[in-house]
Formats: sequence, structure tokens, C-alpha cells
Amino acid sequence: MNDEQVGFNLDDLRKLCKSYIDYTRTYMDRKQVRRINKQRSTLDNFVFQFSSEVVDFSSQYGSDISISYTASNVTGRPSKFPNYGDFPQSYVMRSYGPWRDLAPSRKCPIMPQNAGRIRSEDYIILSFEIPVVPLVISIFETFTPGSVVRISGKVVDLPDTMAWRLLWEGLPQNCNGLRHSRLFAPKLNYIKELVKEICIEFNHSQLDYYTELDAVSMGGILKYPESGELDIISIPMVTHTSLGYVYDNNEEQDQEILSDIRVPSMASNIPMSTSLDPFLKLIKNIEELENEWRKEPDVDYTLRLPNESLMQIFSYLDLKSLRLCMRVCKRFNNICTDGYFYRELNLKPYWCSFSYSMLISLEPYCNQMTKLDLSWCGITKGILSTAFNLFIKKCGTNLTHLRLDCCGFVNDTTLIAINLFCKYIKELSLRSCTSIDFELICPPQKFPEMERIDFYRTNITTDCLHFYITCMPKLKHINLGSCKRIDCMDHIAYTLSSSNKQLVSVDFWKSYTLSQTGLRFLTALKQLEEIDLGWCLGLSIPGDSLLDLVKSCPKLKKIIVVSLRGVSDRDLLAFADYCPLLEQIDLVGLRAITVDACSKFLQKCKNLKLMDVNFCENIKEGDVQVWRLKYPNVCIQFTTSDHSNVYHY
Amino acid sequence: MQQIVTTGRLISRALWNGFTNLAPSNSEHVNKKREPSFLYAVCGFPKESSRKHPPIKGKFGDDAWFSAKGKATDVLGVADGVGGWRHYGIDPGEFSSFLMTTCERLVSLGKIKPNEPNKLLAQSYYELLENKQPILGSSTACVVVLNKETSSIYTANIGDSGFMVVRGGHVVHRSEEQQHYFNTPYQLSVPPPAHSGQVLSDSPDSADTSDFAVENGDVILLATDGVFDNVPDHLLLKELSKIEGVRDPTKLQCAANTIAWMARILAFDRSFLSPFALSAQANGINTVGGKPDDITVLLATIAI
Repeated sequence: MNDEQVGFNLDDLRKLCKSYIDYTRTYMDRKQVRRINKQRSTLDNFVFQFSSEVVDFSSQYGSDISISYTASNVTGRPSKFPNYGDFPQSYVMRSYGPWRDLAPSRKCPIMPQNAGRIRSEDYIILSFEIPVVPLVISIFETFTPGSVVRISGKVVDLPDTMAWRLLWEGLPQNCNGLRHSRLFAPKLNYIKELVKEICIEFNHSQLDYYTELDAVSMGGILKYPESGELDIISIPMVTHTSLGYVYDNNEEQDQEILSDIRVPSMASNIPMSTSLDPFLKLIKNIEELENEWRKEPDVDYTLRLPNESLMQIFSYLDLKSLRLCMRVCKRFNNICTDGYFYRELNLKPYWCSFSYSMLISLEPYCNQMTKLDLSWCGITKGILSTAFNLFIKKCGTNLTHLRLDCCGFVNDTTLIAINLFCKYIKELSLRSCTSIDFELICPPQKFPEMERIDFYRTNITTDCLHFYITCMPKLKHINLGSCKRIDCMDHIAYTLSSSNKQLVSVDFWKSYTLSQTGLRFLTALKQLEEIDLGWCLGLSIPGDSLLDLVKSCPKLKKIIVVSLRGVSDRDLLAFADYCPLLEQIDLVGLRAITVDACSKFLQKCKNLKLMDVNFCENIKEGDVQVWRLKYPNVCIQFTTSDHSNVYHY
Repeated sequence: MQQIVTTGRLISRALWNGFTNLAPSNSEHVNKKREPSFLYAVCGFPKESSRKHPPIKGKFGDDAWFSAKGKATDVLGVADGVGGWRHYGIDPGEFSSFLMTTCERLVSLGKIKPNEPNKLLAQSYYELLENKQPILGSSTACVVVLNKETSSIYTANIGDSGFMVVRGGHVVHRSEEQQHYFNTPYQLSVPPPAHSGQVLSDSPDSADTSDFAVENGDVILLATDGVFDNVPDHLLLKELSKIEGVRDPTKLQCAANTIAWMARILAFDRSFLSPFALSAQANGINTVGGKPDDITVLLATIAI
């Protein structure tokens, strides 16, 4: 816990931040004062507000009943900014860096050619009190900045499926040299409509460590000026607040003099295409393209290619392009409507306009469909569960992989539909599907081929989970993180150990009811490669159970024991002795671990790639620096006093 | 000299706090239904005033306090860190301070209903375990929640900190000390994992709760045992009766300072028969004098 000093030292603030505009009047020179006075006259009815409520989010580090490291911390005024550090008063998400894709439990991407340039991993939807025309959105990042990739705004008074507008998009910013907090306020696309909710999307793959957010603010005007022209030059300066928040623009621009952009009143609307195809509506300049196509080409080289070559070429296309090709000529239409291209379908990039009509338009081609990713498509509430169940019935017979993360339309009936119609299903992901009540305890049939199931943050109960597990004889990967309604995790551990002896990875994140007894049951899982016991406070004093576990699971590659305060040197050395394949280990908050034990551990584990020793009281900076030099292949996570958590991979 | 500087800073800070808490009665709009609110002042002394560290808001030595405004609530609370942890290399003030700042966050985030102060303490206690940084130690705690809609206070108390409500020159409501045995109060604690069997740890469920209807002008004193063990009741009552119905923040601050000063002086008086000494004698320990301890005084009046 950092102590709060009384008062607010502006000099310290300046040292902390890379660049700033100081708003307190005494420091301004006359030019700036004149400019501000001029701006005040042009931008009246400008409103500056912090987010008031979290509408939805994909993942969080803390548990739903806590206020530490959870999404609700992002609302209201910043509590820690501009301090930099790992604070429980901020919003932290579940993962960072490339580590999730290097773990045994990694999931294969579905339709990777459709993922686009920027693949987002997490999102949060925030609502504000006053709807405004957004001019500046500032994100207060207090730790490891750089993961915001997209900001979208939801226009008021429009149906959800047509209300989302893209306000900004960009690659994750490489901030790995930046050791201070950052106020991220990218240059937005200016729209004319009022916005009350925004969605911020994140990609953590470039991050050194967890990113943490303290607050999000939105500044805008209450009404778009009738003249249709907006003098943009004045915007950044007007985000002044009484504490003098500083401004750090991501693009290397001269912040004080922005180019004089005038938004014309006939702003480029997305022209309405002549077709009703919902995908084509998403493409701008459709009219231009259509006009070009209508010109007669001199020679059609594609006539020389056989259909199979064309199919090979088209298999690299994303869905939008494929649908475009479909309309070029009859031959292309025949090729592109072949079920071959719809065997793997990923609609996550189109979440903001997902609707029933979008799914229906694809239905005719989906009878060979094996993999479907509809993650995040429930945000727009564009489809009812009954309609989706019908889709499953029609097109789900060959389905092997189904991802329905954060889909609000998934409920108990959907699970029954999946159970009845998808006989070959191997992977089912229901992350954050909070609309499922799990009232029907037992699924009607078995899931004979199921290998991977993800129940992160769902409301599954102990009894229900017991039956699901016993219906999945081939289960290899199971995620039970943050399942707060499970009241006896030991029972589940017993069920897993007796029915799924080939289990490869299990995630018990924040399972408070798992105890030593439960852990001992898991010794029956000899094939275990990954186990996540983070925040299983029932295991605070593991006794011999951890030792027993690692002795019987020599294939372990990833062990997470965050904040199990009773884990000692004895356990750590046992990990080293019995698990030679160990690659990732997370030891955050273990105050009993000593430097000697860690040194021995590093020496013995030849395959180690990641070791996290933050908040371990006995470990000091000097030790970590020595280790980093001695073991350059290992990423040792430790935030030093000057926050140089440096390891570039 | 140091103490005057400390008090000076405390006064100025408390004044600032007091001003931000001024009741809407000063404004020109008259609401149909007036909502009660706390006007409060805080004062205190750490047991050993150290010159090295500047004073930190919310802490007096191992004691900690907080005030917060929720949706329809005003909340005040104190916590007294158990000093015995110092022998084990654990800073007792960290626990109480974290408990109080978490209570403040919970109230301002609106997670607490007005009539459940024990849930506030319980959730604050469990948040300790949710922190990456291990926080060990133990402390007593006392929380007073003013429900603006029903004009009553809901309280929860664990240990020997406490509160006192004074109206018309009499004590109309007070908390009871919870002790296992002499000088060992009930306490919320998070022991180091290896010693959890040997350390006294009371669950948040063992808190004493109460509710009480308050009227305009009532005085509430919320303090740690540094005050109640050193200042006899009649002296406290005299001071508190003086500020009944007072809304002037300066006067409130003066009264808080007076009580804290009294506690401080009497604590270090070797021959004074303090309430602590009387209670010790009742338990068969022959002793006189005050009990040097951290002192925290939160003084509030109800303004409707």
C-alpha cells in the first residue's frame, strides 16, 4: 500500500511525465493564454466527464465480488494517476504478452485470414452520464501502457446493431521503455452523433507485463454545430481539469499546433450499396469499386486458371473480400459459395454489426462448417437465443470447435441444442457467458468427443459441473477460473481425477473452495502439463499437497501459485526437482520464498522461459539483475523501484 | 513544538475536510425533506511522534481513520492496529490503514447498503486477502454509517475502539468494549500462514452491530482506546455537551483538539487514575497512570 502524501507536487509530476501541457495559469505564456481565450468562445457546451458505469467486459484479474484489480475501478475519477505502479485500485485484465499462446492450454485461431491487421483480445464497454459528440477520449494508464487498439462509440437512439462507430484504431503501441503512467488520448475520427457508451479493445501481445487502467474520460460537445464546421484546433487544450492532467499524444505530433481540420457538413457517410448483403455494407467506397467492376476488361486472365487454383487463392481472403468476389461473375459466385470456404467461420471482427440477418445470410453455405467463432457477437444483442439454437440445429452437425465468449444470447437452451445437435464437438468456449443459469443439471447426452471446455466467469454450479465433466470422457483442457457459484471445488477435483485421467490443463483461478484434499485428488492426473492455482486461498497453507502433486505430474510445464502465501522454498525446489519440463511459473506475492531457493530453481530448470517474482518480500533488485544476466533466456518479472521491468523478447 | 506543528497541519487539513462537509442548510435552496449529514473534525496523536516522516492523512501511528460519502450514506470509521506485531517485523499500521482506505473505496464505489456496516467491515477484511502485496497484522475496527433516508446510524464494532452519542448532556448510545481478556480486544487479523493457529483472529461476524435514530444536533464521538482508556467519561461528556448542535467547523475542530490533547496529557501522566488503571486494578493488576497509546478522535455532529 503506498502512502498518500498530502498535497500534490507539480515538479514531481513533470519529472514523471514525458511531455505535458501545464494548465495552471501562472505557468502559461501569453500566446497560450490568448489561444485559450479564443477557444473558449468557439467551444462552449463542451463537457468533460469520467465514465460512470461499466456495462460489460471480457475479463478481469480480480474476482467479481471484490474491488481489487477489477473492472469497476475504471469508473469515476482516477485514484492513483499519475502514480505508476501495480495498484489494486486499477483495472487489470487476465493475461499479457505472448505467454498465453506459449502455454499448453493455447487455443488455435479460427479462420486466421479473417482476423485483420489488429486482433483484439479483451474489451470493456463503459457508459457515461451525458451523451456528447466525442472529441477527445483519454485513457489513464497507470502500469505498462500500450495495449489499447480500438475505440468505438455507440450512438444513442439507434438499434444496437447499427449504432457502433469506429472512433480510433491502431496497432498496440510499443511502450516497453516507458516507465511512467500515460494519458492516452489518440486522435479520433470525428462523427456527428451523440455517444453515450464506448468500447475499448485491447491487444496485450506486445506487453511486458499486465496493463492497468485507472480511469477513462470523454470530452465532447453537447450538440454538433449547425453550421457543420468544427474548429478542431482547440480540442486537446480544453481537457483541462483542476488537477492539471497532462497530455501525451501517441503519434509524434506537435501537440500545441494541430493542423486546422475542418469537418465538412456532408461528412463521408458510408454509401449505401445496392445489395442487401450485410457484409458489403461495412465496406466504404463500395460504389467506386462496383463502378470499376462494371467496366469490361480486355482480357480475363482468371479464365486460364482452373477452379481449384482459384479456390486456393480465395482461401486466403477474409470474409468481406470473399463476399465481394462472390458478386463479380457467375463463375466466381459458384466458387465462392462453395461450403469449402465456410468450414471455418470467425465473426468476431464484425461484432459491432453482428445481427440475425448476418448469420442467416451465411446459413446456406454452412452445412460443412466445422469451426465457428462468434466471440463478442452478443454485445449488439442482435440475435435471440432461439434463432441461434435453430442455426445450430441446421448447421451444427459437423461442428467441432465453437467459441461463444461474452455472448449474452447463450443460455441453457443453447447448451441443450449444442448437446443434441453437435455430436462431434471437441472444443466449446463459454467465457463470460453470464446469461447461462445452469438450471438443467444434467446434459441429455454425452459429449463423446469433447476435449476442451472453457467455463471462465460463468455461473455454473457444482452439481451441474459434475455432470458435465462425467459426460466428457475425453476431456483434456478445462478452465474453471472465477466460477463463483462453485461451492465445493474439492468435489470437482475428485470428479476430474476419476473420470478424466488424461487431463492436460486445468485452471482453478480464484477458486476459494479448493483445499489440500482437492489438490491431492489431482495427483491421479499423470498427464497434467498446466495447472493454475492462482488465488486459491483455501490452499494458502498447502502443506505437502503441492509436493505430492508435482511428484506425480512430471510433465508439468506451467504452474501458477499466485498469492498462496504458505508456498515455501521446499515447494519451489520440489518444482525444480520433479518437473524438468517447466516453462512458466508465477510466484507473485509469496513472502516465504528466499533468494537461495530461487537461484537453485533457476539453475535446475533448463527449459524455463517465464518466472514472475513480483511482491516477493525477500527478493531484491540486485538479485534479480544478477539472475537476468546469468539466465538471459528466462523472462524474470520483477518491478524494480525505478520500474525498469526490462526484458525484451 | 513538533506537536503544535502537527496540530496546525491537522487543523488546517481538518478545516478543509470540515468545509467540504458543510451541510446544505447553508445554501438557499430548501429541500422538502432535509437529509442529515455528518459535519466532522478529526484530531489525533501517534504514540511516538517521529520527525522523520511527514504526517500522513488517515493515520496516527498505528491508528487509522476514514470518512466517505456514499449514495445515501455518510460513513466514518476508526481502526487501531495491534502493536504486538512489531516484534515479528510486521508494521501494525499497514493493516489498519489498508482496512480503512478499503472501507472508503467500498463506500464511494457504492458497494455497501446503508444498513450493513458489518458487511462493510467484512468485505474490507476480505479485500486484504485479494491484494497481491501480502498484508499481515491485526486491528480493531469501529464503523458508523449514517443512513440519510432514515436519519439513523448503523454501527459495527469489533474490539475496544468505540463510539459515543451525546444528546442533551447525556450519553444516549455507546458501544461496548469487546475483549477476550484484559488488554486483549477482539481483532480482525491476517496472520502469517505458518502461525495461523496460534494467533488470535476474530471473524467479522463477531462484530457488535446496532442502529439508533439520531436527531439534529446530536454529537457522535468515534475514537480508539487511546481516548477511552485515558479520559474519564465525565470529562468527555463535558466537552461533547459544549458542541451539541454546533455547525461551525472551527468550534468542532477545537473540541476535537481538546479531547485529543486531554487524552495525550493524561496518557503520559504517571500518577493519574485513568479508566485503564481502574480496569487493571479490577483485574488484579496494581497500577496507576495513563496508558500511552495512539490517539484518534473523530468528532461529528448531525446536521439536518
